[in-house]
Amino acid sequence: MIGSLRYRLLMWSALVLIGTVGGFAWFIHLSVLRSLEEELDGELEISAAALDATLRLFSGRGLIEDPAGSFGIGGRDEWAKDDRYPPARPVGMGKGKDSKGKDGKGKDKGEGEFMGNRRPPPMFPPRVWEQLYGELRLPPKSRISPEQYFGVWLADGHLLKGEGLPEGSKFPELEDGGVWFRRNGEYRELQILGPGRSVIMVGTPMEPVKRRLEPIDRNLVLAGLGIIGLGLLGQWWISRQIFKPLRAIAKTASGLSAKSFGGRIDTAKVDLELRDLAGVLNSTFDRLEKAFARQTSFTADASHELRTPLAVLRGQAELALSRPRENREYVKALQVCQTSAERMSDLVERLLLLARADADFPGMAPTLVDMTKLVVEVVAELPEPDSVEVATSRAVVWGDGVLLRQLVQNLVGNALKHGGRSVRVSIRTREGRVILKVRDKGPGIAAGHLDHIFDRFYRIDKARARADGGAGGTGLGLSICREIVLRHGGEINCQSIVGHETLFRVELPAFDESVENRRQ
Amino acid sequence: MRILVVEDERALRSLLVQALREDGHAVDWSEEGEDALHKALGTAYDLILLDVMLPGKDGWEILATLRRERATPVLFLTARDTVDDRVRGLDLGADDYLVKPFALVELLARVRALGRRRQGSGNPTIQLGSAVIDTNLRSVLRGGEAVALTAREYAILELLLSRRGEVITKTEIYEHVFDEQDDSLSNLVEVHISHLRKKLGKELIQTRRGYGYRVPAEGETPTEADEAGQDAP
Repeated sequence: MIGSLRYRLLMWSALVLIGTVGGFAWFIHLSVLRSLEEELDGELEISAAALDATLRLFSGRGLIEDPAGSFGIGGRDEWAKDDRYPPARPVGMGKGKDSKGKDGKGKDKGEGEFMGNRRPPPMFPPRVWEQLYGELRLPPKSRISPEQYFGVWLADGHLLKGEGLPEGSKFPELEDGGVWFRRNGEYRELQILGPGRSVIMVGTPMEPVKRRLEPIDRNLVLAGLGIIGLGLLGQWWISRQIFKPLRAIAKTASGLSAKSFGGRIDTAKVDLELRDLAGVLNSTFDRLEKAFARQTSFTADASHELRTPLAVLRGQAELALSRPRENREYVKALQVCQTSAERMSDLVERLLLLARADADFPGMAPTLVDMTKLVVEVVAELPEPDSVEVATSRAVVWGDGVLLRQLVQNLVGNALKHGGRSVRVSIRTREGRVILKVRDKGPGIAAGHLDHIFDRFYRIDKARARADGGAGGTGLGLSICREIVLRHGGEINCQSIVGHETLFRVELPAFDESVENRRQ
Repeated sequence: MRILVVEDERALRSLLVQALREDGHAVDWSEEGEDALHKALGTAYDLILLDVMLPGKDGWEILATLRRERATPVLFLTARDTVDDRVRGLDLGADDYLVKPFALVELLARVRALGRRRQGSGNPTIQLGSAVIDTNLRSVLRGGEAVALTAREYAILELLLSRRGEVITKTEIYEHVFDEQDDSLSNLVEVHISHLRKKLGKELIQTRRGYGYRVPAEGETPTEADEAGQDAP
């Protein structure tokens, strides 16, 4: 599964889908949360504004005279100095009696309704206080924050009124004027500076927001999963479509076998993106087919060439032994056997050499080879050295002496076989190339054969070659020559004029002696 | 039997020719496709041994062309041993297929078997009067005693036996028993027939004057009828 391209494709697209859909859902979640919070904040602001307005109303009605329009113009410092008299005192002087008169009552009431310091501050007349206390309340019906609470503190930290304050709420220390939103655990709170540096705090639990968010989140998750599922399904289908042409190509390729190389991928039907691949595959199939055909015919030829002398060897021995014979008949039979065995061993040697050539001549031992000397030696070893005319000048190559000797032997032997007594061999160096020419005045090679003479087992005159009982050669000599030349980085070609002459020309890279001299 | 050997490898060809001749057959040979086809079409061979890889026309071509005119049995002799090659050869009309290198005795046995099949009898032992002929051993027993026949005599006897009851002309005998290298002196057949009669009994080989010779069909009682006993027509 892991190894499957399609599986990986699906996995990756699943990851991308989950990332995208998840991210989008998260964004929606945050947006909704934010807008809910803004709405919530709006409601808190309305509530705070209402409380602020109430406070201002009372300060405006002159109950608490404040030229600056706020409580405690003297600041908290003065409140702190004089505990008994709040800084509003000069303002509230005229109404001091009223305030005093109701003091006891308000006090009692305050004590009854509120805990701790929630009783009227000393400077408020109890009646006004009562009225203010009654007026300080939240506006009705908040949409998403029905459970609002609030607290109003005077500048000295005295809690004027608190309603539903969560446990542990205390005088909010405001650093500066303005509007402050903050999160207080599970609550969201808004604090504003009211008149007379009083502090109004309105809060609400976040619970309702979460409750409203819950169904939205649930729907988002469901929709997200649905989209991912559909997306994967689509991706699965798409990947099928993508791999369909590949599967078709694979089917064509697997239909090819050693027996039939017929099928090819129809590039016209293949998608544009795969056309190159199909073309490459097709040309590979072509090459394979050719190589395979070559190999098959080589194997067939090799087996034919080996089996025929083997059949002679076996049949001749059987025939000779089938009845008593004269001595001279035995001698003749043994001679035939010998010839066949020689031909077979010659053939086996050449086949092995070609096999080595196909493996790039393992164990090839390049040294400096004096080609001039080599040519002279090869000619001298011939049964009739005088029949070959030799022209030499200095020629040195870097190569395998044994293989190069074989090359020269094959070419000269070939020329002698076809060219009779008029063979000319020349070797020289020219422009960094060693050029070996072997020319014979034989019957020549027709143009139709020239292209094939280096092919394995190719014979121009098959009848004569085999009728000669092996002397006609194996049909491998020139193939071997070509392999040797190619492995030495050279070229070999043949030109022929029918009825006149044949010329084999070998070019090998000359060994650059000047480079070697400089190195030493 | 008269056999044509088509093989371009000289050593193998001469060995085949020698082996077949020693086995009592009349053998012609050819080393090249065109020539082989010419011979095969021109002579009523009993069997052709055909190599596949030949200069000129190859074995497949020769067989395909030959089959349009003649039903001469063909034994393919080749180094090509794949199943495809065998199937192709047999489908083209070859009667047998032998892969090189082969055992000479096997080749000779197959040649004999093809000869028998041509005669329409798979039985290698033939009863003729008091004589029993074993076509495998190429031996003749008369009354339990071995009769020594020369290869030619035996070949003529075999030819007569191959079409029992029918008259075989002297020309046919020449064509099937002697090869190109034999001297076709006209009286040679008569000499061989006379020797056969001496060895097997006069009544077994009858002469139809002006036509040829016959041996009595199976079940037919050999009689000294007609010109039997007279050596020359």
